[in-house]
Amino acid sequence: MKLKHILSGILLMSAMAFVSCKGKPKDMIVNKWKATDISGGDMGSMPDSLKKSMISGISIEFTKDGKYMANTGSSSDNGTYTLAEDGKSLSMTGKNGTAEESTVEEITKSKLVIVDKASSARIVMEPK
Amino acid sequence: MGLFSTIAEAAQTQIQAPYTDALNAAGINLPDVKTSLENGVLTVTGTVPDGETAEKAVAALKATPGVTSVTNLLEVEDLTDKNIFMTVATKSSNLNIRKGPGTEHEIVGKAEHGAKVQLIKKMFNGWYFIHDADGQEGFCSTDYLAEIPAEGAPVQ
Repeated sequence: MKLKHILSGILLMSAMAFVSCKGKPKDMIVNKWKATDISGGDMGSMPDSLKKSMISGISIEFTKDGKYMANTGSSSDNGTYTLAEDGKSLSMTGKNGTAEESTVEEITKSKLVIVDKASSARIVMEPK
Repeated sequence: MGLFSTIAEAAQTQIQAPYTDALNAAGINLPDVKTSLENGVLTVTGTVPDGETAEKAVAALKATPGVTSVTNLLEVEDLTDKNIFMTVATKSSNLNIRKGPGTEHEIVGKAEHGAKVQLIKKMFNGWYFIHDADGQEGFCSTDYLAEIPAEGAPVQ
């Protein structure tokens, strides 16, 4: 009986450790990200050399207070964001008040993939 | 703007750069003009002050590396707010409505002889982008369009 309790305890602790390691989407997005790939939308017709140069300049930081700061190397934007509880959709409202809705394809501590609903542009990012 | 809009704007600036440079080198400053390249065909849109500038711009753009031909959709004037209407003045046949301002462009519709059309844009070569009562839109030659006499004007 005592052994059963110990085993249950170990299982419970392992499960908790697994959950905390995986993390919540809202916590995982809070980071400085840099682009590793862009495709779709206007990027689809872009020559590879230009695309590489664009990718190297793109970064975005999501902060815990719901703000973001995006940079493309030649221009920047900042505003607020909302990530759905399930981590499947992301809404960003820029400084001019325009909202952008995105689908989150993947979110982990080491990878963020979002697709713009309006243009189908897709961006893959990793921590900066 | 948002992340994607910011990226798209930066991408557009980078994509347009070689064409903007080509225009500037030819002494033409047209901030309004936009280009898009597909399979070597460069489509150029926007507003130019006159037909001569449009011709110069196309010549400069044709010489840009990677461009095999240019589809010139440059307009001289937006006439939408002027509410100018004309009638189709063919002998009896229907008037071809084309995808671009020239007979080399595909026919996308027909306007009946005598039909009333609205002039939307005056193009670089005197063709017009028109809109008819059936909702058809496209380019027509001015050779087959006649002015509608103003009310009260003497009948010729």
